[in-house]
Amino acid sequence: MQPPVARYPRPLRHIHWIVALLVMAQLAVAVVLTQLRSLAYGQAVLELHREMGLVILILLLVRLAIGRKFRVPKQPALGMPAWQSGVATTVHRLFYVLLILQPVIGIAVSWARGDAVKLIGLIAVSAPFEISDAARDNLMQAHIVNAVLLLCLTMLHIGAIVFNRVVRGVSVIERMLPAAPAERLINRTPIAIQMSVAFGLLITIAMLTGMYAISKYRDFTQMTAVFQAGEVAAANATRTAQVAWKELLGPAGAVPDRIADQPMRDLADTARSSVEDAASHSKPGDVRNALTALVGNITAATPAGAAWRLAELRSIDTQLQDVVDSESADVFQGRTENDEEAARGHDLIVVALLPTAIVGIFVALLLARSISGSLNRMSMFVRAVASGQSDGAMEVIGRGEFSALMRDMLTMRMAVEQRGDEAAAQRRAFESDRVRLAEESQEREAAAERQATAERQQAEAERLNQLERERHLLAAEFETQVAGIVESVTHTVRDLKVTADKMAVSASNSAQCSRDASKVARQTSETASLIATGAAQLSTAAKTVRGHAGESKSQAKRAVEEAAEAKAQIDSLVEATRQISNIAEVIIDIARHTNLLAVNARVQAALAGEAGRGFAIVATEVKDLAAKTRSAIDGIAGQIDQVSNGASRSVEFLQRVSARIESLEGAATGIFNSADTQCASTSDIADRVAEISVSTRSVAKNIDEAQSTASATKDMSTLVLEAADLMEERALQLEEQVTRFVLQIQEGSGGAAAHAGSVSARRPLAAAAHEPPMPQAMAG
Amino acid sequence: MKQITLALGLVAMLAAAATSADAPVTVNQKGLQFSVAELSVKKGQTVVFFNDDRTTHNVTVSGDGNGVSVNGGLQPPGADFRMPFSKPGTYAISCGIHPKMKMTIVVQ
Repeated sequence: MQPPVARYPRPLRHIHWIVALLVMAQLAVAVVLTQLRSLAYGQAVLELHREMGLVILILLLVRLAIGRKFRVPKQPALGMPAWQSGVATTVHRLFYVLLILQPVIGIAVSWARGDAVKLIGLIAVSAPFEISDAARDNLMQAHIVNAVLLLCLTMLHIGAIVFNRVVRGVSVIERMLPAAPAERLINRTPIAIQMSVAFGLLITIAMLTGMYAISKYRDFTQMTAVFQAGEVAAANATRTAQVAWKELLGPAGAVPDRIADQPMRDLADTARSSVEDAASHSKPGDVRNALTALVGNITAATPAGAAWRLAELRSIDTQLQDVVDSESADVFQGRTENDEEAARGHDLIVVALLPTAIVGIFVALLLARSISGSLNRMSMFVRAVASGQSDGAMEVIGRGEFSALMRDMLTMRMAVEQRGDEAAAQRRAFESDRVRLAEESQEREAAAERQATAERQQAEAERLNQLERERHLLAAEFETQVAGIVESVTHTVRDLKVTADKMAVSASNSAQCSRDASKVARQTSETASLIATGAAQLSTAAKTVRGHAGESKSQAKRAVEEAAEAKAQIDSLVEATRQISNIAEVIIDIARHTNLLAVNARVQAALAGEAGRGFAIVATEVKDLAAKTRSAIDGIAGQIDQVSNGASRSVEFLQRVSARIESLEGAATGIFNSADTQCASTSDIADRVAEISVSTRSVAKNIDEAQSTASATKDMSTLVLEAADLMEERALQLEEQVTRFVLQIQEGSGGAAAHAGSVSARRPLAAAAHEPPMPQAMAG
Repeated sequence: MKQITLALGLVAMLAAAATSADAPVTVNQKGLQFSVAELSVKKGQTVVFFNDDRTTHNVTVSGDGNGVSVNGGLQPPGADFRMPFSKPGTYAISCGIHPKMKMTIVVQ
C-alpha cells in the first residue's frame, strides 16, 4: 500500500505552477524575439517579456515571504538516496537564486537601455542611477547566461520527475498536485467534448491567426498595388517629364530664346502630359498641388507661336527636380511603410504560435490530468471494492464518460453487495440446517450409543458369566498346577539339599588335595629353577665351545688358503725352472755350434799355416769356452732338475697338508655346528625349565585358588542348604496361600463351600506330598 | 518609337544621376549607440545604418517639418538599412528599441 502523499500547501502549489508557466513562456518569448521583423511587435513582445519577468520576481518574493507559514511537509517515504536528495536540494536552491536574479538583471538591462520599467503599464520606474556601457554589455551577457542556466535546470528538474517515476516508481509530482477526494468524482463534460473543445480552440486560434494574416496580406497587396499605382507611378511620370524637359533644354541647358520648333514642342508636350499623369496618380497634397501648378507653368512657358524664354524653362526644370525629390522621399517612405506592414504580418504569425503552443500544452496537461485523475479514482475504487473496504458513499458529478463509468461501477458494487447479502443469508440458512442436522445426528448417535451400551452391558454380563465359569475352571486348574509345582519344588529342594551335601564333601576333599598339590608344585618349581640354572650354565659352556670351534674353523680355513698360496708359488717356481731348463738347452745348442765353429776355425787356421796360428789359438780358446759352457750348463741343468724335483715333492707335500687341513676344517666345522646345536638346545632347555618353573608356580597358585574355591564352595553349599530349607518352608506357605486363594475365589463365585470342601478334601494329598525337611546335620 | 527614345533617355539620365551622386555614408550601430551624433549629407545622398551590435536595432527617421517619417523595421545583428535623403532639412534619427540611441542628420 502506497504511503499517503505529503502534498505541498495550496498557495505554494499555485505559485509553483504559475512560475513554471511563466518561465516556460519567457523562454518561448526569448525565442520569438529573435524571429520578429517589425518594430511594433518587437516592442510589444519585449514589454511582455519584461512584465512577465517582474511577475515572476514578485511571485518568488511572495513565496519566500510565506515560506515560514506554509512549510513544505516532509515525505520520508520517498526513500531517496543521499546523493539524489542532495542534488534535489541544490537544484531547488539554484532555482530560487537564478529565478530571482534573472528579473533583477533584466530590470538593470532595461534601465541601461534607457527604458523605464513598467508593471502592467501602471507603474513606471526609471533608472535610479547611470549604468555604464561596459556594465550594460556585461548585464546583457549575464542575462543570456542566466537564461541558459535556467533552461538547463528546468530540463534537470523535469528529468528528475521522469527518473523518479520510471526508475524508482515514485510519482514525486503528486506532491505538487491537489489531492483528489476519494469519495467524489467529477467529470462534468465528456472527454470527447473536452478534446473537441480543446482542439477546436487550438484550431480556432490557428485559423484566426491565419485569417488575420491572410487579411493583412491582402491589405498589404492592395496597399502595394495602390502604392505602385499612386506614388510610384507619379514618380515615374515625373521622372519621364524631367527627362523630356532636360532634353528640351539641351545638354548645355542653354536654349536660346527663340520660336520652338516641332521637336521642342513635342518634348514640351511630353513633359506636360507626364506631369499631368503624375498629378493624376499622386495623392492629394503638396506634391499634387506642385504638379498641378507645374502643368500650368509648363503651358505658360511654352506658348505656341511665341519665343520660349530660357529663364522660365530653367525654372520649370528646377520645379521638376523639387517634385522628383519630394516624390522620391514619399516613395521611399511608402516602401518602408509597406515593408513594416509586411513585417507585422510575419510577426503576427510568429507571435500567434506562442499562445497557440502555450494553450495547447496547457490544454494537454489539463486533459491528461483530468483523465489520469479519473482513472486513478476509479482504480482506487475498484481496489477498495476488491478488498471489501468500499462501503462508503461516492458522489459522482457530471455526465462525462468517467462519471457514467463510475455510476455503473457503483451499480455493480450494489449488485455485488446484494449478492453478498444473499450469499450471507444462504450461509446463515445453511449454517442453521447444518446445526439442525448436527443435532439430529447427535440424537441418532446418542440413541445408537444407548442401544450399543445396552448391548455392550448384556454382552458384558454374558462375558462376566463366561469369565466366572472360566475363573472357576482356571482356579481348579491353577490349584492343580500349583500343587504339582509345589510338589515338584519340594522334590527339587530335596535333591538340591542332597547335592549341596555332596558338594560340601567334595569341596572338603578338593581343598585337601589342593593343599597337597600345591606343596608338590612348589617343590617342582624349586627343582625346575635349579635345572634352569644348570641349563643356563651348560648353555654358557656350549657357547664357549662353539666360539673355540669357530676359531679353529677360521684358522683351518686360513691354513688351507696359505697352503694353496704356497702351492701356487711352488708351481710358479717349477715353471721358472722349466723355462731355465729350456734356456739351458738353447745355451747348450749354442755351445755345440760354437764348438763346431771352433773346430772349423782350427781347421782353417791349420790350413792358413803360420798366419792362422793366432787365429788357431783363439779358436782353441773358443772351443774351450764352449766346452766349459757345456759343462756349466750341464751342471745348471742338474741343479734345475733337483730344484724341479724338490718343487714337485713340495707341491705333493703341500697338497697333502692342504688335504689334512681341509679335513681339520671339516672337523672344526662339525664341532662348531655341534656346539651351536648344543648351545641352542641348552638355551631351549633353560627356557623350557624356566617356563616349567613359572607353570609350576602358576599351578601352585591355581591350586591355592582351587583350595580357596573349595572352601568357598563348601560355604556356598552350606548357604544352599539353608536356602533349600527356606524354599521348602516357602513352598509350604505358598501352598497354603494358594489353597486359601482358591477357596476365596470359589467362595466369591457362590460355590465356596463346595470348593472349600474339595480343597479340604485334597489338602491331605498335598500334605502327603510334603515331607519334612532334611536334618541340618546331613547338610554339614 | 517616341516612348522607346524617352525610356532610353530616362535610363541614361538615371544612370548619369547615379554616377554623379555622392557616395553613401555609413553610420554604425554598436554598443547601443550610433557611431556619430551628428552627420551632414548632401541632398540625394544615401546613409547606410549598419547594425554592428549583438542585439537587434531599429532606425526611425523623422524630418523636421518636411513630412518625412520613416521606420526602418527591426535590424538583426549584421543587417543594414539604406536611406536616401532626397529632401533637405534636419532629420532626427533614433532606435525604436533603445531610446537612448539618437543622432541628427542634416541634409543640405
